[in-house]
Formats: sequence, C-alpha cells, structure tokens
Amino acid sequence: MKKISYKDIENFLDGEKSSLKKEEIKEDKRFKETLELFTMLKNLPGKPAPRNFERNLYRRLGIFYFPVYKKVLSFAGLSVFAATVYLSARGLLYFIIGKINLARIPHQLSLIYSRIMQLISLIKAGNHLKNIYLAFTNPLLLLTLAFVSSILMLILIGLSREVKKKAVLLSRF
Amino acid sequence: MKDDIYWIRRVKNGKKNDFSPLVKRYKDVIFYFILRMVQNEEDAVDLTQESFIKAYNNLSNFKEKYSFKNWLFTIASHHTIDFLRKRKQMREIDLLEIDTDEPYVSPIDTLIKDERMQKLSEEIDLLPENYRMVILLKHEESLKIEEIAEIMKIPPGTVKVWLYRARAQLRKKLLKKDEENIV
Repeated sequence: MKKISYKDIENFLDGEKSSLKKEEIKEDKRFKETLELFTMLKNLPGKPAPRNFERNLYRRLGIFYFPVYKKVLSFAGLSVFAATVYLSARGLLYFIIGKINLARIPHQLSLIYSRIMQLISLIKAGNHLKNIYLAFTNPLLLLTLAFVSSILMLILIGLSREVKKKAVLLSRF
Repeated sequence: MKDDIYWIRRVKNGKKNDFSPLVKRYKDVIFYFILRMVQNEEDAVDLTQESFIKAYNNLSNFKEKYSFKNWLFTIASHHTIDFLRKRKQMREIDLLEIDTDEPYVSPIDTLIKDERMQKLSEEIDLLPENYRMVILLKHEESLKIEEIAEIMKIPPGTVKVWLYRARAQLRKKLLKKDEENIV
C-alpha cells in the first residue's frame, strides 16, 4: 500500500488538487491526526473587541455614534410616551361620551356656539383697540386729531362768549 | 460581500456614518487576528482601530471587484507586521538594558479550558510571526491559499510551505504533549 504523506493529506483537506479519496484514507492514522489538528484550529475560541471599541473608533473618525442601548432606551421612552398619550386621549373620550345626554345636545351646542361668538367678539374688540392704539401712535393722525380738536375747542369758546353777550340765542338751534 | 459594497458606496457618497455596519461586521475578526499576532490586548485595540481608520481614509482606493474583508485583512496584516518589526527592534534595545524573565500569559489562553486546546493555543503563540499569520488566516478566517498570498503579498507557493511547516510544528508539539500525558 502506498504511504500517504502529511503534505498530501493537508492538500486534500485544503481543497487543493489531490489524487486521494476519503474512503481510502479515512482510517489512516496521519489523516486522523491532521483532521483533528484542523478541527482544533478551526474551533479555537475567539475573543471579541472590547465594549468601548466602536465608540472610541468613531470618535477618532469623527463619525456620529448612537449605540444600541441608547437606541433601545429612546425607543422605549417614545413607546411609553405614545402609550400615555393614547391612553389619556382614550380616557378623555370615554369620559366625554359618558357625560353626553342626547336631550341636552342642542343646549350644549348652542352653549358652545355662544361661547365661540363671545370669543370672536372679544377678538374683534381687541382688534379694534389695537387699531385705536395704532392711530394714536401715528404722528400724522395725532396731529390731525389735535388740529381738529383745537379748532372745535376754539369754536366752542367763541360760542360760549357769544352766549354771555346774549348775542346768540341758543334756543334757536 | 454585496452588502459590504452597498455600505462602501454610501460612505463614498459622503454618508460617513454608514461606515459603522462595516465596523460592526469585521471588528471582532480583525481584533482577534491582531491580538493573536501581537499578544497584547492594548496594542491589539490600537492596531485594530488604526487599521479601520486606514481603511476608512483609503476607501476611495478600494476596488469593488475585490472582497472588502480581504482588503481589510491586507491593511491589518501589513500594519501588524510593521508594528511587530518596530517592537522587535525596541525589544532588542530593551534587552540590552533590562533582563526580564516574566513569563507571558496570553489573554486568550485564559479563556481556553481544554488542556489540548490550550496547548495548541500556546504553541500558535510561539510560532514565528509569518507562520502564525498564515495559520490564522487559513484556519480562523477560512481563506484560500491565493487569498492569503494576496493579503501577505507573497507567492502562493510560499504560503503553502509556511502552512505545511507551521502545521508540522504544531502537530509535533501536540503529539509530544500526548506522549507526556500517557507516561
């Protein structure tokens, strides 16, 4: 029987060109030894990179890093917030539905309508007040107003003097 | 492979943050390979980070027809070889000044429970650097002879010879250990 060398077996196990057949060599002592060595080499335990490896690397590279645990915490936080909002809204809706009485709906609607109208009139009054304020802050308008009012005052003073002289009879007006 | 190309294209298009999936995928294998080579965790972390930085900065030179993993291993192996050369020179200088007899305990050996596996792991650490590198690339990363030759920039014939010698050395040491156990 032809003696098989380690080199032939290794070439066979490496997937290189070989004339060997597994059935012929599987009982060979050298084959078993080599196969065991290959298996052991393949199964050597690995060691992962340290935990802060990525963070330090991204810092050196100037890349924004958002670790998994932060993603999970953010997701959990948002979920809790969303659940709170949803449950509160649902509770409020049930509360309102419980309070609604069919017979009182027209009354409630008219109440809401009157409240809205009150609000609108309040806004209108506010707007009007704003316009008055703006009119007084406009110097041209202010001068015009002062001019008109001073003339009116002069007319009034003149009229009152004439009344004292009894030259004008007010009853005629 | 296709997935790697997708992320590489995105990084090349300016999406820097998309380099992270590639780091996540390969950090452990590159770290383990370098750790096995340099046998010091701190140095291994530094060298792994520097390898990734080098890869990131030279991503524009990466050709898509090649495997990103092999390209990364090429960078890591060359960087490690440079480091080992420098360390060797430094140790030669240090040896002239200090004589230390402290035995080295590999951080990986502490993880290995099985006695034979531990012996094998120790023997791998004692192999010459070029033999250790071919063994790790062949058996840990399951690379082909041609791929190892491309990574190490040596002829495939040399890879085969180094592999054969490294395995022979390991086999011999394991057999010796078995004989000791029997006696």
